[in-house]
Amino acid sequence: MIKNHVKQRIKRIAGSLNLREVLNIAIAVMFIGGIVFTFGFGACIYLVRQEFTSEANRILERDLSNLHYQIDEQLLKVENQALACATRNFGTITLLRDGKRFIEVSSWDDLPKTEESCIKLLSSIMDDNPVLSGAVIAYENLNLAAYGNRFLGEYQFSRLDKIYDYHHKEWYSEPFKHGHDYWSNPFRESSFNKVIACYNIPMYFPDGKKIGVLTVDLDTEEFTKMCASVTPYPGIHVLIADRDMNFISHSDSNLILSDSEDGIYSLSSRDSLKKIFMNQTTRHTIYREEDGDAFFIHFTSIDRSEWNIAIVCPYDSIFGGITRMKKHITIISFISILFMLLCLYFLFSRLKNATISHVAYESELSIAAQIQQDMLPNGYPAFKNQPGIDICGSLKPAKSIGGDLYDYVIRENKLFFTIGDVSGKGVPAALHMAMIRSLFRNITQRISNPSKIVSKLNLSLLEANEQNMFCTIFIGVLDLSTGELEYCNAGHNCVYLSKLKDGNRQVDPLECHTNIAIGVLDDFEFKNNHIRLNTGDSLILYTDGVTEAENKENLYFGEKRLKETLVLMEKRGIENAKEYVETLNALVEDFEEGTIQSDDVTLLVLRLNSLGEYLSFENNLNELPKLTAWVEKVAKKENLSEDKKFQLNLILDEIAANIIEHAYHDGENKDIEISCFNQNNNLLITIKDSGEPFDPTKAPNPDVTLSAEERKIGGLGILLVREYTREIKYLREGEYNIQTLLFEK
Amino acid sequence: MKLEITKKENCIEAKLIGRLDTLASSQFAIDMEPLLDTANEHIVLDCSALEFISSSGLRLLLMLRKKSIAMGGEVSISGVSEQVKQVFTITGFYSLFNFI
Repeated sequence: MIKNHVKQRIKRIAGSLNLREVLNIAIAVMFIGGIVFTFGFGACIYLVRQEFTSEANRILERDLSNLHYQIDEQLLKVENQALACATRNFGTITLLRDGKRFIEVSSWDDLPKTEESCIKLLSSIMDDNPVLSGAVIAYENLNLAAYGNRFLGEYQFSRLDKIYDYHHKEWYSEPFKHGHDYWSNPFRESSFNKVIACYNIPMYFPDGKKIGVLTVDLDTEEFTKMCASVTPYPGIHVLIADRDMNFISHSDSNLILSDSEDGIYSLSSRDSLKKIFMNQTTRHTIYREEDGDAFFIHFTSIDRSEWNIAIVCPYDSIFGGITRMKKHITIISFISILFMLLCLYFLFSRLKNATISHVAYESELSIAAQIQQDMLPNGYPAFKNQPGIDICGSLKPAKSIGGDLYDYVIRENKLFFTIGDVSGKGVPAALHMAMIRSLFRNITQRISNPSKIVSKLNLSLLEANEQNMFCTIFIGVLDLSTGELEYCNAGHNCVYLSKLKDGNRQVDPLECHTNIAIGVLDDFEFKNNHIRLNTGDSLILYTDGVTEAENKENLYFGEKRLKETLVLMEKRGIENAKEYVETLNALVEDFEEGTIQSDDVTLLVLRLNSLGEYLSFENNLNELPKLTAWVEKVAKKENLSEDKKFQLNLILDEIAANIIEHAYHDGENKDIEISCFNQNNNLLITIKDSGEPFDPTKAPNPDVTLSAEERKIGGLGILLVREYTREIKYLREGEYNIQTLLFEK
Repeated sequence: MKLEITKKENCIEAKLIGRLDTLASSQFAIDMEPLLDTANEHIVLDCSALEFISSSGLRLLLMLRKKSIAMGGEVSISGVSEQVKQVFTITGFYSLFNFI
């Protein structure tokens, strides 16, 4: 029995978990997240690049100026040594306004004029100045030019005037052209393959007449070493070029003083270098090659020698880390996003399945709980035609389905009622509960002795009980015509009896034999107890869920509190069994203060309002005298007048005869049950038969005005019944016709 | 239920004794057969000792009445108790018989 709300709940949850929608949302979120991330990431990269750029510029600038300083100092040292040598030997230094210098020699005699004296001079210069690789002294008019150099510690001397006409060489002519010292462009000394830079100082007589040139040579290899030591970034190139853009120092040694235009950089091109170096305003620039490679170039020039120094740093060396990092982060992000998508997909599909199966399980459980609730009798009043007995039960399961049970059924004049508690909770307990309940219904059809019913249940439970489930159970059989109660308590909680004693309500536990719970021992002999109930007596049955209800302080409701509560309730006055159950449930709930119910809470309350008269007879006209005798008994008990007795007899005779004659066709012996209760000074009579469905209230009345010839037989009985009863009701209940008559006393 | 039929000068008197309930009706139907044979005569049903009558009893009386009309006889009823009379009244049988 699936309730609508359960269905709707499943639909709602399943509907709200549309995987595609969820995925779409997830993808949208990730897409937006991706865009935001990309922008943020891009901005970060930009800022980092800016930072790196300014840092790189600072470092390159620092290294360049260091290098500049070192070279310049070295050049100055060479200059000073040359000049010092000149002043020591033959002349004085004349300083020009712009810092340029020349040598003034006052006396020709001071000068070495022979080859030997020249060599002696040159040797002393080189001895004094280890940095110098060579020295030259050349005369204007003497046609003497001595050259000394040092190679592997050995001095070598030669006569340049004998090799070429030095007067036109740059190193000789340029100093006179400028009128002061001059660094001529370096050249390669072929004999020991070194690039030599020459510092040339013109010598003049005081009258301005040319004497000659004193030159000192410097091996530029030292500068190449200085350049090589500049390594703030990997892949960096430091180059020195002379005033004509010939490389004095270059990381590619093939390019040094070479005319080749090839090289690792097209920066080797003199033209492009010139262009860069001509731009003297910025001193650093960014150079991009056609193939996209880009370089930071920081450059400066040494005024002294008119050399140009440049540090060339590829972009990649500075930003390589960032570029790699960017690439890696992008790849990692992409993989992460893919991974997240996959995870999301699996997660949601799992979640969906899990939720759906969970919902299905929950709904099945709630359906099972519903079925369990439906198994329990829940109509109130329980027996509309039996005003003598007022009975009401309730079961509040702890875990949606539980192992408690209660049931009641009236067979003839006997009320069979039971309350029980199957050990454990949940599905297994519920299954046993259902089994016991249906066995109870079954067994009570044949057996009306409580202890025997319990024995049967015991054996049935033991038969199929691998789980070792047991059940405490109380079974009572109340004779509704006498109030005699036989009961058997198999290990269940005590049952309270509320009765009127000396004008006061008294609540006491029913005396019970100590029987063992069912499902434990197969040969246990269960014993009955007996008591007679008076009208107005109530029985209160419950399971341990009531007495073991816990509050926040972990206190149990307990037997004592239950009894006190019952006494209090009786004092206040309780209208009926339903109110009894509801009030008690509410009080237990109040006690629990909202703590989670740990066990099923089951109550069954019955009250004997009045004793009824019962009759059961077979569907045979010969049984009718029993009915007449019964009417006699009822009339006596209810003090009916003769007229009323006659009418009651007539009504019942007509109804019974009608049932016996018309309701059965198969000739089987069936019982017809009649009960009678006094209800507000009227008699409530119920006739129950198992014949063909027949609704007497729908049968038409015969026309009583017709003449004797026209009158048909039939319909008279119903007419009489209608005439003599205040109310007739008909109900088809299962296989039973139930007619209820209200008969005025 | 007993039925005592006595032939009198101008009528046939039939005394109904006891309860004419549904159970008794089947026997009564047999018992009253002689009456039906004499339905051309005036039949007086003495109900002073009739304690009870049900619709099945009434039907038998109606049968007798119908036969009597067909055969030109008459059926009178005497000595009915108030309770039985009421049953006749309710069912409209009161007008079908001659109550004396």
